[in-house]
Amino acid sequence: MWTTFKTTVHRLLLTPSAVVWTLIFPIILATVFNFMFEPMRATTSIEAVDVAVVADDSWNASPFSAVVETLAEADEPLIALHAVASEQEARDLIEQGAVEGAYLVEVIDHGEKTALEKGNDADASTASAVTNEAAPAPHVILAPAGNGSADAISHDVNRSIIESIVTGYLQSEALTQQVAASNPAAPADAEAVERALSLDAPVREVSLTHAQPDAMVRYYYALLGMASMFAAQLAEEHVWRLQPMASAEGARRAASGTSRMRQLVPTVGACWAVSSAFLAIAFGYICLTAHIDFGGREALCLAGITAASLLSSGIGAVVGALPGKLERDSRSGLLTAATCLLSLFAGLYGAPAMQLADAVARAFSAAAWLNPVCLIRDMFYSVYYYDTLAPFTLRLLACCGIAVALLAGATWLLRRSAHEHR
Amino acid sequence: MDIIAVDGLVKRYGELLALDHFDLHVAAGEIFGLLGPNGSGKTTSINCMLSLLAYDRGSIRLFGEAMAPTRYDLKRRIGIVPQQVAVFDELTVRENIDYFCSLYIGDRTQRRALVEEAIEFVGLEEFARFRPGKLSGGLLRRLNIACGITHKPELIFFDEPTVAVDPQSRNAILVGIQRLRAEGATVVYTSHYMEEVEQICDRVMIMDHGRALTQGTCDELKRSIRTGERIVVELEGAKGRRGAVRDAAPTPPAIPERELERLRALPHVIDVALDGNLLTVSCEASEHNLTDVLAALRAGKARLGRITCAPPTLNDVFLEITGRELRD
Repeated sequence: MWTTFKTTVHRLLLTPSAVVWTLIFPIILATVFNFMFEPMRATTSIEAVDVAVVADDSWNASPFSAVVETLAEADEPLIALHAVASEQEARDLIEQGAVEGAYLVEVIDHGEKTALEKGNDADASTASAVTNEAAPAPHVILAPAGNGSADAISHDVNRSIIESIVTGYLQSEALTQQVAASNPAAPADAEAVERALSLDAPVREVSLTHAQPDAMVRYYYALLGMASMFAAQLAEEHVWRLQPMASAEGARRAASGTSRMRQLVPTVGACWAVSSAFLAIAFGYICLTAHIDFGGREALCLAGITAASLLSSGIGAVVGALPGKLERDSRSGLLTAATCLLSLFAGLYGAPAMQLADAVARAFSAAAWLNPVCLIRDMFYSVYYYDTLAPFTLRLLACCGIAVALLAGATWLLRRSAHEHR
Repeated sequence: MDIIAVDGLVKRYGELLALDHFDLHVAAGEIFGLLGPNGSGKTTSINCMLSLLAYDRGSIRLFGEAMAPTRYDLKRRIGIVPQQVAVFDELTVRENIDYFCSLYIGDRTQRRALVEEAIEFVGLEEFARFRPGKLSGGLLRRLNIACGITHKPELIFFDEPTVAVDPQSRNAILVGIQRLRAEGATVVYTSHYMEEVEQICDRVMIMDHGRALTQGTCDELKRSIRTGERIVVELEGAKGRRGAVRDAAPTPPAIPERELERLRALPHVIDVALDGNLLTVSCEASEHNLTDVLAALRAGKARLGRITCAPPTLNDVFLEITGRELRD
């Protein structure tokens, strides 16, 4: 059995079609996906918003400048600061489009401006805060609002980011003043003050999923499902070649002193090992090159790949062991067609296909368990999204269970095969 | 003891009766020739004996025991050299031989020695690291044989092992088969080359339509047919050309038709054929055939050139028994 296993591995590694379909093809498709999805990912990532600051003495004296500088110096900065000497220079930069807004700190005459107000001039709008006394306060100047076009959406998002920073700060400041008024000892507690001034102090971030949701990962998971199904061709060819009517070497092996079971097990085992290795390489490529997130559970994903390979080997073994005069090319074509069709219902071919897949999943939830591409896709999905490993384990066991049933079927079929005249 | 004992074997493919109460008995140490036209049932009978095919009726006993698909103990004592070269293109000569040997012998150390012995036996030492794609047709056939005999089987089936092989390789293969027999193997050999069968087989069976038509030694088979002698006369001065294509002016025959009729009327003459200037007279076994034929030709004033007289060949036996009509 060991020699059969070793020989089959050897032959598989030297078979160009096996390497192309199981290793090269998923890597090429992952590369194509990477090029397709990279621009979409870029638009969803937040770039630092350019903001001018009027860096005069009031600015330097204000605690707001420290908050803004902290945001600008973070690892993933929310804003990028452009220091200017005067408000007019800041307005000029806004007009030129170099910045989306400007911060300045100045004394507000609250008789003049009593509420957060937006100016009516066409070039820029101005917002400031309500203060109870004439003291230096942050003040923001914003670029005009967008025209509602797709390009203007990110511009408007940037405006709201600039505005929310100053609004949040002023709210925190007002809160601190209220606390100080009711409890004069509270400002002595530095931690309490810091908490009050923190922009996200009242907000607690919670996540419903194990990892940050990313719509793109579904395509890569479906790709792994498709690649697994292509790996079924390995077992299909090598099990078919065990049949006495398939080839002269099949007849020679069938007539030999080794039972078909003892030939089938190492043959399928070799196909499983090679397809697992190829898929693991493709998985590594997807992780490292396409930077697809597997929720930090890469080791579990490798277990998933092993189960997916076992499932595909089982499918291939049954197709290879099917009786009848179906030539090898026909069997291979059958598997390829099935793989492409099942991948469609796994949503591999773009957004419309994904919508179709979702619609099918909503209408027939069992389809996700019967379609091996969906089953494998959902296995990776569950390892990515769920905190608990139960959904992943369930799907992994489903893959293994179906594979064992298929292999039992292949054994039964193969034992019945004979060297009938073709 | 019979190594092979097949009795009343019946195998049907739907409506087609492939084996019709087929019997075969091969003794230990024999080289047994199985002859028959295409579709006569040779390969079907071998596949049944190897349990590659189920059969409808009859019994097959190998080494004195009933053969069945799960009799791996019996299968381990059998070697197969199929008509098609049955090796893996991805493996080298040595790897191929080792793999097929591993289906019979698990012990790696024992196998290593047997593989080297088989490589030496078929003379592939220089090509042991070659893949099949780099080998000539003759070398491939030798590799095919090596894959079937490495485990030193007691019974070996050779199914047309010399197809498309040059005379030197063919001779090497035939000598090798005789060596295997000398080492104690029993051989069942099928071929369409009658001279090969005559050269190496102890006994021969001719089968057709799934039935054994006749069997015996080559001499016994030759004696069993009507033709006992073939006289070939080259006629001199003949205007006819052998195998000539008819053209506008028909060439007169080398000998008049009435003289041919006179020959046909001779006692013991079975058939007379004229091809150009070559006259072939087939006769039953008799002591006066040559003198009778020559006397008749001289009476007809034919000018005689070279004359040969030969006993029947296995080819004559085959054609007389299976007929001359073309098969697929």
